[in-house]
Amino acid sequence: MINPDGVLAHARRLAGSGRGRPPDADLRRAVSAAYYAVFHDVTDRAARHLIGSSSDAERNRIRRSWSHGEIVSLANMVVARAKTIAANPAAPMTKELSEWGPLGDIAARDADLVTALRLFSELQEQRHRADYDHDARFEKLTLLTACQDAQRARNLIASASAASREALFTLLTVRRKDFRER
Amino acid sequence: MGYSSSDAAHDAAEAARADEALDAALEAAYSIGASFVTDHQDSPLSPHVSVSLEVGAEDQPVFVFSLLVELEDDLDPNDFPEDEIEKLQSALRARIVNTPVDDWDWIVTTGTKAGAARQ
Repeated sequence: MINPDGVLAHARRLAGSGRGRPPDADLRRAVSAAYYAVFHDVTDRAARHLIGSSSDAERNRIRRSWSHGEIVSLANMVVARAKTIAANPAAPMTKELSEWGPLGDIAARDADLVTALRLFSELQEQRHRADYDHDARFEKLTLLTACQDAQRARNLIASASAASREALFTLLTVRRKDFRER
Repeated sequence: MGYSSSDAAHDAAEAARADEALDAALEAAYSIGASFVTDHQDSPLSPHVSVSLEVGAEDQPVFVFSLLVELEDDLDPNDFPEDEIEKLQSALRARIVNTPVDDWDWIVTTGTKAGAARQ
């Protein structure tokens, strides 16, 4: 079972102890792992929301079905809706979001959840740079702040209202066409 | 129905508008970086912000705000000034939100001036 706490602890360990400059490969792996800690936390929570009484094995199969792209796409949609509401609380929803009734607004009105989703989106972009961008520059402070952001995102998801989390995880579910493992 | 000349004209106009919006966002990004540095001159971490426009995960433009601070690049993790860094990051992010930059993807990444000078 992939444990988000363990993944984040692994990322932090790659910073080493004491002074020194970790190898570039360690820095990149750690930045990537910081993102994965949040990703696995989100899929764990979403699977528990969907089939919380099922076995670990069944929930893990469901966790495998969510892709990075669809989670960040939803995160960006909720963040965009939060911006719209901040500017005009009576603004109509986009066509896509309106298909899901009040769910988008329930999620978008929770500041903690919106901040967490912004961090998720940033961490995913950082992970992409760490894994694929040969020219991107990383150092120990980048690693430490990525871990800090990841923990903060997880804390904010935990401290968000139960209603907004449920709306988010329901959106993650209803936007799917199937639950095949990826 | 094929791709007509009016379709091409429409697409060209859309592309031109997107380019203009991106240019405006880049200008705003530079301005955010510069004003942030000015307003945080008294911070013990003496932050500097550099801005670059890169290609992101979905092949879309992404603004990268590199927050560089006055720390050793080989710092002991036990000396990581977590609260000060978080304050700076949050302040920078707050400045980016609801600006033309915020219509695009953006990230804040943190490093040290010493590390930047080394590379």
